Amino acid sequence: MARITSSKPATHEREEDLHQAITNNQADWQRRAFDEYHQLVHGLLSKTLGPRAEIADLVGDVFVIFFANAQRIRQASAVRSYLVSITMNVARRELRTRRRRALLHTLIGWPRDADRDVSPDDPKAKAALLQLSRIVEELSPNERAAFVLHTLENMPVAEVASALGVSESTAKRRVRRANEHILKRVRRNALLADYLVARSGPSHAG
Amino acid sequence: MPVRRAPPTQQQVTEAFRALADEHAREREPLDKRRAWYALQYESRMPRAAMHNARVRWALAVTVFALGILVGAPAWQAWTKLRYDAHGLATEGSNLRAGDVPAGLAFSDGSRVMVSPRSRLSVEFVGKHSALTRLIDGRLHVAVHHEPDTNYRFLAGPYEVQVVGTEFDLEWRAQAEGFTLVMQSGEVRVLGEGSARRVSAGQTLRLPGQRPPAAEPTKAVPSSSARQPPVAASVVASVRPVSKAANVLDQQSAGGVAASARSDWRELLDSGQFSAIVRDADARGNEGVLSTAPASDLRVLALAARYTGRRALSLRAWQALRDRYATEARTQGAAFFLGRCYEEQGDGAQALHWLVRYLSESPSGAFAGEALGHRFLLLSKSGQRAEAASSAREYLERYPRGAYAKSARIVAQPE
Repeated sequence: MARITSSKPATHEREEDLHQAITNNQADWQRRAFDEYHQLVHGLLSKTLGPRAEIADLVGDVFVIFFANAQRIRQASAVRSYLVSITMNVARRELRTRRRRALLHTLIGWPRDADRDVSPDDPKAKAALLQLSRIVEELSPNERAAFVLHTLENMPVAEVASALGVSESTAKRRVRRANEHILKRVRRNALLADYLVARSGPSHAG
Repeated sequence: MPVRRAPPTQQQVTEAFRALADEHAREREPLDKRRAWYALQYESRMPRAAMHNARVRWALAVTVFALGILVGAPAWQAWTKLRYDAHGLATEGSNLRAGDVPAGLAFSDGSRVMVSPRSRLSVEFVGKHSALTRLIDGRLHVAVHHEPDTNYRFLAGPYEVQVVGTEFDLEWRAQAEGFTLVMQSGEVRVLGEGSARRVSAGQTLRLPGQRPPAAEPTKAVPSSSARQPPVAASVVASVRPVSKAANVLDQQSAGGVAASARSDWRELLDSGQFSAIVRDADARGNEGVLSTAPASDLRVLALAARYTGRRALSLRAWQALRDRYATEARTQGAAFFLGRCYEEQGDGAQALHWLVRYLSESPSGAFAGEALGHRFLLLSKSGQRAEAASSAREYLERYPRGAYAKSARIVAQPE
């Protein structure tokens, strides 16, 4: 999967080209933007909301907001970060909605929303991903967003802060707390810890 | 035997997690992409996105709130206010008059009042279960539905019947038999001249309808009423039938309003013609009346002015009674009525002052319970919680089953 921060000239050229198309309101700019950034948006939402989330509608929400406001973007380099910002806001809103819905369902005794299957064919990988997702679910929406952007997407702290609309120190603190929490919880689960060590290979042990 | 590895490092966890999440996202992405683009193209997504706009949400919230007020306010008013349906009653100014056949009032709280032919009355609402009915002349059969805050009051001439929940017949003939109360169930409290009386189921209370005004003290300026033969100041009350001879009325005709002399004010008051009294006083000049009228006329004028909403005149009449006839003022409860007038005007401080004064002058007076009740309510309303609680406890000690007992228990509770 493509990382958010990419300095490849080809990517840069494509971004410039797309920005030009948006600014000139070319006929196919929406489709081009969708093709260019769908993987990014989908990945962010999938990692933030967990592997079992239904995210096709949320991806649509992100692009509806993006299409409505894209022509106000002045610089080509800002397109991607603007989209990341929208995606994380939608993800956080969805997390809050889920919490409210879960509370309501508990109160009125309805069953939980049906989950979709997790993708990896390897049963161990599937189980590990589910367990990691459950650990991530224990984080607050803000900590989860910071963790996904910085730890899973390798985004620099300054960009994380910008995307989430907080100061760098706040972003750093959220990332640190999230990492500490996840590491602590993984170490308590011997099977999961062993699997992650084995998967990461002998060179990282220690 | 499984080999136990060293605990994973942060980097190992991160890399494994990232690999797993990427693998999952990669597998899902093509299918989700098709679905998302289809939804974007063929479904109207804008309204959903618009719902997330803060401005739209605020506008919706304000609209819903405004609609709630529009629909809820009349419903709230209807729920909190007592209403009645009148059957067979014709309006006569602000009064109701029954024709030649029995009529009735059906209140929204389930209370019923049957009105005998040719009776006259007026009804004012005070709260959800509170109403003030003035029986000007005639006979009523009353069945009051009991609720914790029920407070029905019936004024008949100089008498007042306070009801919480009960059934009785009430008759008032200013020109003939006077006041007759026949209790069928429950208990009522009758206020009037003299001390308050409790009348229970099966009892009958008859009180005189009209009597000549009391003789005025010698210091009073001579007036037409002073020429009336003196009688005892207190009304004879009993819960057994009194002889008709004792209730023989002064047959003096009330006459027209314009021709009424000051000595007729009592008759006008007894027959409910409060406006006539006030108009007569206005015609004579209020200043002159207040400075020269005898004590009985000042009291009648003060009551009539209060009933017609002329609170300022009522206050001045009570004040004149206190200034000029201190003893009579005390026995008539002028301080209590001053307090109530100020309370009705919204002047809590003055109301409290006069109620406290009444209680110090007449600790066991006819209106002591009312005064104590209003005192703790006023104190509570003005935020003097400790004093209100103490006053409420005093009320409960003296009137544990009084009309204000429920409120007193609430106010007396420690915080």
